[in-house]
Amino acid sequence: MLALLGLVSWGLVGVFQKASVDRIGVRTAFIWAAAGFMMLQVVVMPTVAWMSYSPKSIFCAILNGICNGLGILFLLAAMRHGGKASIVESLAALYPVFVVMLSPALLRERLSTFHLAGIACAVVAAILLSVDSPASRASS
Amino acid sequence: MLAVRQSLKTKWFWCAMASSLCWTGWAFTAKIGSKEIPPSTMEFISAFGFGLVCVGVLARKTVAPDKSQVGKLCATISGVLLALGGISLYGAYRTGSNASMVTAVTSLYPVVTVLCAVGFLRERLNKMQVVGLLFAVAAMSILSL
Repeated sequence: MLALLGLVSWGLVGVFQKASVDRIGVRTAFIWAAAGFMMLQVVVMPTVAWMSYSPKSIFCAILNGICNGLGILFLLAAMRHGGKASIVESLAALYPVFVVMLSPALLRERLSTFHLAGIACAVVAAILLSVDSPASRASS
Repeated sequence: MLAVRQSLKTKWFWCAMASSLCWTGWAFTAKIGSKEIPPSTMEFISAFGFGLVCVGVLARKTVAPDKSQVGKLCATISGVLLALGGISLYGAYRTGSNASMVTAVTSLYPVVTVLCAVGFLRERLNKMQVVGLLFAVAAMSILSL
């Protein structure tokens, strides 16, 4: 049930992002989105002293937030520059491909045939999704 | 192929790719950081990083203020939904659900986006893009398992 709530929530994010950048600039949209994001952080506020974790882990967590923020900023910019919510979200959601491709070098993990099949599907998907015909472009 | 080449010249395509690369960094840092830090605490600490990007954006914001209240409301709702999605995901992991299944289900969120974008934003997709979406769903399902 919670997984489905996550699915629907994240699915709706793109629609509201597109609706916002159609009306306001990327930076303004990002600031308001960040305000909304911060509002719910009190729910996950840790009850333990989080400074007790190692500096490396805390650095990773902060870097994690920076990457997330920049990801959203670029996503809003893509939509502002004419990208459709459906296409932009789908393209950006293919990030596991880069994760899998970089894992052998960064995490010393091995690629399986299963992973290669996933990468192949993602490459085909990226090519097909980027085919924006004039007719469909006009409708956006 | 001509349509693909044209898309490669557009800003939106490269912004979407940049977004994808940022989330690659997000996935790696999540994987490394969560070895020691519990997911919900990770979400909380990462909000500080998110805040840093905010500070950077505010520092560079020199354009005239946007006045659309609807636009601001939509942006705020998108932020709330983003956080809600993350919290739900961590909650699903904590309740002992099958982690692979939870990841696989939530990775399909673009399907919801597509359905809502077609329904509410009146976006239209060509046949190639529909096939592309099917490949994307297959890729996301395979890579999330």
